[in-house]
Amino acid sequence: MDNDSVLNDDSGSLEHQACYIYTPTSEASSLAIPKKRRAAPSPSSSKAKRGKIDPKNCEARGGGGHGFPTLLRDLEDESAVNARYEAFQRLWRDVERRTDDVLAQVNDETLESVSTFVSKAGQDIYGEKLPTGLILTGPNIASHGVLFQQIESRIQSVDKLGRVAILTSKDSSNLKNVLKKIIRCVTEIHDGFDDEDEVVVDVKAGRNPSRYNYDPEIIHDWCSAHPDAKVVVAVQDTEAFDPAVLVELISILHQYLPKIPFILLLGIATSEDIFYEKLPHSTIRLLRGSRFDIQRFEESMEQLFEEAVLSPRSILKLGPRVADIVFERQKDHTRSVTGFVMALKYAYMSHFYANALSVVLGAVGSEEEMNTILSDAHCDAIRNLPSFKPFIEAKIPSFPWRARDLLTSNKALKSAVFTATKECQRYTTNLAEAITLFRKLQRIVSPQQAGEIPTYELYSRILWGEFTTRPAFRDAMLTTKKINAEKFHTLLTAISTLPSELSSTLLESASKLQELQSQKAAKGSTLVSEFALPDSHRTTVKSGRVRLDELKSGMTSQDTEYHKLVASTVQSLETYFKERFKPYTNLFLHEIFFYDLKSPHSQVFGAKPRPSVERALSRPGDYLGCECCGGGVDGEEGGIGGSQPYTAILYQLYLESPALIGIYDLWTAFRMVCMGDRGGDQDEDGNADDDEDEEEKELQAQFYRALAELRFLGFVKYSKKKTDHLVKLAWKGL
Amino acid sequence: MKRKREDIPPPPPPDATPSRRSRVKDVTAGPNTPSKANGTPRKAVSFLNEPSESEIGRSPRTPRQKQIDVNDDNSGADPPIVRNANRSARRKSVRNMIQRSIREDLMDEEDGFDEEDNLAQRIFDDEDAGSSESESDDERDKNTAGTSTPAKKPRGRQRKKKEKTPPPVVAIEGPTAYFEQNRGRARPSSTTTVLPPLSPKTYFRLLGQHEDKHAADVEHLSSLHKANFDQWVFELSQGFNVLLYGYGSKRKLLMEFIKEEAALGNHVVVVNGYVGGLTIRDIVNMVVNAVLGMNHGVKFGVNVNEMMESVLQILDEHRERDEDKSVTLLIHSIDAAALRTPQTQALLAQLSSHPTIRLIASSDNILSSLLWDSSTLTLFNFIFHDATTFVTYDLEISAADESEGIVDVITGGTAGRSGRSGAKGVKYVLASLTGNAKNLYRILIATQLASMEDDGAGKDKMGTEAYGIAYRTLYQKGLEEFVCSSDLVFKTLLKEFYDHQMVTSRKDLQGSEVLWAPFRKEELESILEDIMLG
Repeated sequence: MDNDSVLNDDSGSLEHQACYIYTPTSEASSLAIPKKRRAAPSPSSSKAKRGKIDPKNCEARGGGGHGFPTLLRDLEDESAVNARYEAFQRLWRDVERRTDDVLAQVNDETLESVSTFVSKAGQDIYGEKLPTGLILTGPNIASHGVLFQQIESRIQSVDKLGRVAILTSKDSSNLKNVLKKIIRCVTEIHDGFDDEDEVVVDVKAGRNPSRYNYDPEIIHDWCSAHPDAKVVVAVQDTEAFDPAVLVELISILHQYLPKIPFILLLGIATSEDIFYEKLPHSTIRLLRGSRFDIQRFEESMEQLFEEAVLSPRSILKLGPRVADIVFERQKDHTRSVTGFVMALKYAYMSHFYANALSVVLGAVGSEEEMNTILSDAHCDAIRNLPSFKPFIEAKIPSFPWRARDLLTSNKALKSAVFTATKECQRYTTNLAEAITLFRKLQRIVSPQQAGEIPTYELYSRILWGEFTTRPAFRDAMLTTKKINAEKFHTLLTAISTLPSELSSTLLESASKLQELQSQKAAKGSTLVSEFALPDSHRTTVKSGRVRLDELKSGMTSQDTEYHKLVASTVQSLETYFKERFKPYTNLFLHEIFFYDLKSPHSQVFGAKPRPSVERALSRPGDYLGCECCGGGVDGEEGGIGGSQPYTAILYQLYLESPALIGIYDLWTAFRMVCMGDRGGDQDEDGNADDDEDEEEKELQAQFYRALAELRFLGFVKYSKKKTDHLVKLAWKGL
Repeated sequence: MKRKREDIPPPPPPDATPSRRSRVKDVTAGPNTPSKANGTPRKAVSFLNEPSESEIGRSPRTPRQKQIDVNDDNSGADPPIVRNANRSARRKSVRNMIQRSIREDLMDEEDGFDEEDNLAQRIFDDEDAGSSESESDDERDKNTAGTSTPAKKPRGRQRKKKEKTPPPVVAIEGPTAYFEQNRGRARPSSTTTVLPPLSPKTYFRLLGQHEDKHAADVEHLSSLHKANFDQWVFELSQGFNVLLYGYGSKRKLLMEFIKEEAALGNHVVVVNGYVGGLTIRDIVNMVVNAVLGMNHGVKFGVNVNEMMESVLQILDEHRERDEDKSVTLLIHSIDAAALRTPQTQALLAQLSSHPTIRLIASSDNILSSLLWDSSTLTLFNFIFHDATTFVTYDLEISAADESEGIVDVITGGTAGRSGRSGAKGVKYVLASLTGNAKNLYRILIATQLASMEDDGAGKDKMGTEAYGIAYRTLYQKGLEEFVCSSDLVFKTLLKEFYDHQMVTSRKDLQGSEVLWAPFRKEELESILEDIMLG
């Protein structure tokens, strides 16, 4: 508490100041170095030495360091802590680089076409109409800013087609501001365009001192200095832009069109129809141009997922639980690609921050490094992993001596760890391979289904190992059997190009199929397998059978051959998938290679401020952990305990009250809860009036404060209907 | 409740009947005894009162009997009869319900109970039903009921009442409670009784005296949060911003945390969001100050958006110069009233998304998440942490300009609205204002008092337009006394007064604005005294 008083003193005058620069007093800064959980060196014999070294090292890095805590009950080596941090930095940077590349490519197509549109737009094509590009940006407004900046840099710096002025709805307060902004964007120097600009602008400015700064003639002057440059006006959020200003802006741009090569780009988040409804026909008639769709969120998300999670280069994988949380949030709430990257980053962060064994990931490539970095404490921790037990139990029947070795010798364990890391990596590589193969198959066989369910939604099912029992999987396999020979051939050639152990067999089947097909084609018909026989239209079983028999008898030897081929291919594919889609939990050390902790993610990204406040106030014991207000189980029935914090009492009274609350009523109830029994005692004494008065006054002060707090939290406000009444604003659990 | 009661008993003349009574008359007396329709309310009441006991006993059965009759006899018979029967059954049951409720009120009246607080009653009902402990309390209370302390009175009464009618509603929680409580019905609370006001001095003295029995637990809770400081630093360093939520003031915790940030060599800017009158400009300016030093001499445009652009440029340059030094922006109560506009939040988001800025903020309002749309949220890139501290919000609620402050609560939310207790609120507000604001207010009320004096007004005379001072005159006086230097400053000061209803204004016939303080002469005098002494 000493700290606090110091703090209060030096900020006493500042706490009512709106904002200020914090300057720590010398005392404060010396206290500031955290004295965290590195308490006393552990007394347990041999590790005492390390314990002593530890704090010093921590101190040293405390200054500019990464702040990673020492784990394993302070037994972790300082070098291991640093290694963990470095591994995090290295692995995440790698992922970040790759995701950045993907993100940069995401809009590439759109940018390309917009750029072409801008370069082509001119009077020869569009005549007197204003060339307009409608960019359908999709509902994720968070990404629009990025997109328009990409457009700007593409047109302005990369393709050097002219100048871009990006307008947002914030600028749309009036036409003057809009024009000012356009002029500023066009004439002021941005890096990346011709160097001579500066001179030109200066000259212009000197020549026309009398012009207003919102006169489009300024742009005209600029244009005469840059004969080839175009002026692109891009409205980022057309829906929010003031329509009246937009109409005026369009008419002005149109009027200046003969003088200045204006091009208008409009970002539309909803749909064209809504945009058309917003503007008068006379304005729309001034426009002509084309429409650009940006890549769908699902597609870019899928690309990103494949690069950041599936790729064998990403060593740390998301576990199924975390993946579910992350993707559900994406699907239902954010729908933003950057949001996913951030969630992934947080997974990396928490894995390396809190899991001491994550250090293994940094040393995946070399056995030597792994041996040096793994300390005794690490080995003990590995033996405590849940996946160690099944691993050792599997060893016992066949190699009992090996199992004993693993339990007793750290050296044996370390080499086992190294093999396990290889195993884990093999598993993930195989997994990625199989998933890609399956997706390709699905896209050919049933494109519709493939479009509906993106890869990342299959991912967690696959990791649980239950995917092969899912309808999506069985459907895909069944349809594979039923497709016609031609499609089957494309399928075989397509999936045989992917790297997998099946590719050679698939290639063989493909050539065989080709052969059969050509034989059959010589006879003038196509290959039919038994699977592909049409369903009978007859109603009785018998007649159905008859019809089938007829069809069967019509089949040639090539058909039978083909049938066998299909059956064997599908069979081998199925075994392949079943083999690859095994649950990841079977792996030894899967705890290290798969990050699968639900708790920080769900809380850190999906905050629930209101339930948390409500819980704190209705069951303060949950947070305070005190005995007096615990009452957890029977708390529901047992009225309101007077021992709770005052605000909590008031809140619980508030919960029971109607929508309009009289302050006096609330006060009476409050007093009764807090003083109920005590009041009774004193009353019998008879002459404790003064005391009680004082006590009541104090309680009243508490009541006021609690009430003000409830107001501050947003639970109540004053009623305008009645004096001294409160309006209830929040119902619990709503 | 009160109103209802006033309606039923004898005195009120028939023409003064509010809607409720007329409804009662129609439904109860109407169909049953047409002759009573024109009778006085009193008669209606006495009629209802006597037979009610038996009628209530019978009431639930009557409609059902009718129903059965319908089923037995008229199955397939002519529908009008069925409809009539149903209708009359329904009418009767409605009538019975109303009668019963009237009877209840009457019983209260007859027993001489001044029923005030239905709320308290319901709470006690619940308590009684629940714990045996409070049961014994009640027992004790019953013994002492009706004696000395007013506190006891309601309880004793409660008890008796409870014996007659079972508690109507058990506390309902969750969504159903919303509908239950928003249902139209008589407002169950008093309009007359008001809490005795508490002077600010006593208020703070008493709170200061008080010892929190949970101090140790609260301390423990915050120590748990402090253990996470390293994690927060790490999260901030990785480009995330941190937002703390949960009940309890997080001020102290964050100030502790900021020490650590400052120790890393970062510039730290602290923003007290709860202080009124805070603007985004102030924050941005302070950030620039932190980066460039106090006298940087950089001028910004009028438009805040433009300003933000140039600030981001400055930050970019700063980043190039020394990369690892960042600016930590600490915002207490990012959801406070002063920062609540969407534009401010959008700008803050823009600022916080800059790699040099690390934002750590606290939010308190339960609806704070509604402040941000998806684009601001993406920019903010928040990591949320539950930091429930259970520390009381002393500073936050006492910040005078906050419309949700303690001032209004202490004065019962009537500051300035009724002359009665408004003056006290004014003292609170003034206590937290700058010297210039105080002086300006002094000028205002001094002038007003002078003109009231000239008029020979009594000490209970309210300040009105007649005693007001013209806007220009006040401004001139302000200039003379160096209270304000420009019209803008003057307006800012006045706005403060307007916000707390310390000043009222009206355009007079010539179109010039007249200002006055809407308080009684006596109060004005005491305020003036306060200002002069303080």
